[in-house]
Amino acid sequence: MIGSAGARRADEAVGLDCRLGSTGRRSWLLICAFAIVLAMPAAHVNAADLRGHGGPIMSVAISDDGQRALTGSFDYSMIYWRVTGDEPQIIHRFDEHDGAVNAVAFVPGTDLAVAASDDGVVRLWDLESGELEHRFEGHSHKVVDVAVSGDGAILASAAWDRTVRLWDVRSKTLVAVLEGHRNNVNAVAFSGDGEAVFSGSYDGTIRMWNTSDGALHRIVLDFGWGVNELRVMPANTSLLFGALDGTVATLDIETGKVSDPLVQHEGPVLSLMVNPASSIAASGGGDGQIHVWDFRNWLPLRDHENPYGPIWTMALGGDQQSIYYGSLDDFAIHWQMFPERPYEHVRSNFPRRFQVSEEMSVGERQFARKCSICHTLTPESANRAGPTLYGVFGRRAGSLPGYAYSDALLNSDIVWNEETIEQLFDHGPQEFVPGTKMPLQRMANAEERSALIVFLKEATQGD
Amino acid sequence: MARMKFLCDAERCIECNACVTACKNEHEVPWGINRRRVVTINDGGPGERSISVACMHCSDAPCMAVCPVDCFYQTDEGVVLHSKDLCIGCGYCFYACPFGAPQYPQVGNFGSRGKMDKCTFCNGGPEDDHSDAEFRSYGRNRLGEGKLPLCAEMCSTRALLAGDGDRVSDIYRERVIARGFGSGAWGWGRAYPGQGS
Repeated sequence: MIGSAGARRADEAVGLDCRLGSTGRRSWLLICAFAIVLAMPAAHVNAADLRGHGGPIMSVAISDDGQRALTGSFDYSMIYWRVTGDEPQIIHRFDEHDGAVNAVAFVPGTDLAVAASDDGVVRLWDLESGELEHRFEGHSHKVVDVAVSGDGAILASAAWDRTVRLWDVRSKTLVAVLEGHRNNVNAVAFSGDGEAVFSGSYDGTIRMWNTSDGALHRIVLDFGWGVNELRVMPANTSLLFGALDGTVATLDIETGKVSDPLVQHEGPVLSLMVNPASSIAASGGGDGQIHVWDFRNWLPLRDHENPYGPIWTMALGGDQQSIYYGSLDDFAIHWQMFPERPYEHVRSNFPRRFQVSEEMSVGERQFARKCSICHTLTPESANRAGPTLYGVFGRRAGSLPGYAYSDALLNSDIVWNEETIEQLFDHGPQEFVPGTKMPLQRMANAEERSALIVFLKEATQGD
Repeated sequence: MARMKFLCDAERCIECNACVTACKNEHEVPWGINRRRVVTINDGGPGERSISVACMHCSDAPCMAVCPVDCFYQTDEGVVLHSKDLCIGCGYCFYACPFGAPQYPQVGNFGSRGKMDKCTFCNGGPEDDHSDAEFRSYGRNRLGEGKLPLCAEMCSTRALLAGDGDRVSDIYRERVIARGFGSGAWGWGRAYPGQGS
């Protein structure tokens, strides 16, 4: 384990100006205190956070030029951002997914991006026009990771149907189905030259495949614990991987030798980041910890903790001084690493909207716990996964402008009232409106159903 | 208050899969879902061992820590349960569980958004005890009837132990002393940190 002295050396090694140099200790303290006071009124708000989603952020990616970002969210959408200037700006919001967006990536050398979704489809989006270019269909379960080769020609998707699929981005055809994993495939990455694909699975193995024909080259590692995350290091001779038992380590591709753990998270490793230009690597875990290294010597640079949730995804900011990460919040948090702020505000909302108090009525509690993750009661839908319930009584199903309904709802003649909402939750959406995007949500208790309807009738009327 | 624990004695498990069958039958677990399964290590080779695996009802359960909608809860007896009314089927808990316990039923045209299902230590769920709604969503509440999980009750070699952690420990300690070699209790140290290998 490398201690704080190592961290200081590492700061010097990469020339980071994270201290105040010749400023005296007294002045330094005053400046820190002033900075804290300045920061206080801005509690819970950071202009650089990526705010626009209506559900937790599941994936974040930064373009090679550092000026644009992509975020995928539980709210069934991907957002394309401009991240130059003080405040990020939304360029396009892509909401035509039928499930949560688990992974997003830019296609190098093009104005295209890919988004992998819970609905088993990988979508190719034109970032300039905002139009859907193609749907890569074939997976039979949720797609949880995507990677694009360096030349932008081949796309790899990893899914919980235990396969990796390779797709030709230009011809929009399936190249190969990589079969052999004995459990869900969680991670996929291309080698630097694009000739090999690596996949990491819950079955504990990391496998190497030929990009050209999809043939298994060999099993590089049988780690035992599930592999959640995988990155190819720039020298193309080793991998960085994160496992279910909290291990973050490097793997020599040729020999299969695993390094001593760089860190042991107290929980599963859920995100990794490697940035060749800045020589920075980082890991995030279920313990809410982020660890940052200079990967040239693996000296630690920074540690950060989010006390309110795991670190599901992360990407280095274009300034190479900050990290965007996704946790349980509806926004990607911008954490400034260098220079480190004297006091880092926790921006997470706590308690969250579904964490209820005893004072709530039964109906309000039902809404908060079972509906509010996807719906609002206000005229604005807040980009949540489902449409707003404002004015829902008397509204024809699938009729709210601006929401991307499923065909099942668009073609439905249901009108929402006490009776139909009662049936919806008694039988469940899958039975009441087969084909709906709404997840399985039954309410077995008739009293709770009635209480919810009474609450909704009152709360959705508006002023 | 007793804290409920599972322990699988890998020296005794004969891979008969009776625990798996008993679980599926008792709770009428749907096709495609296995709350319990038997894993064999070094199959056919030296040191072959079989282990019955399900939710280990961890003291500091990682699934609870990562759930975005806070659908898990732990009973006074240490059983980790969840509410299917609240679960959104996101799959986050699967990434976190070292035992592969969370299962997701196939729903609709793709596998996503089905409510997570897992071993309940035969303790039902948040619905009223022994109600039809509880049985349909979570299976039998044997603990509420004063009984222990059926998987362990059915185990012919008594490889799979379930019950008050202190009693389970006592039984296992006697076995280890009688054998005169290591514990063989796979997963114990992972589920209950600081309490053995």
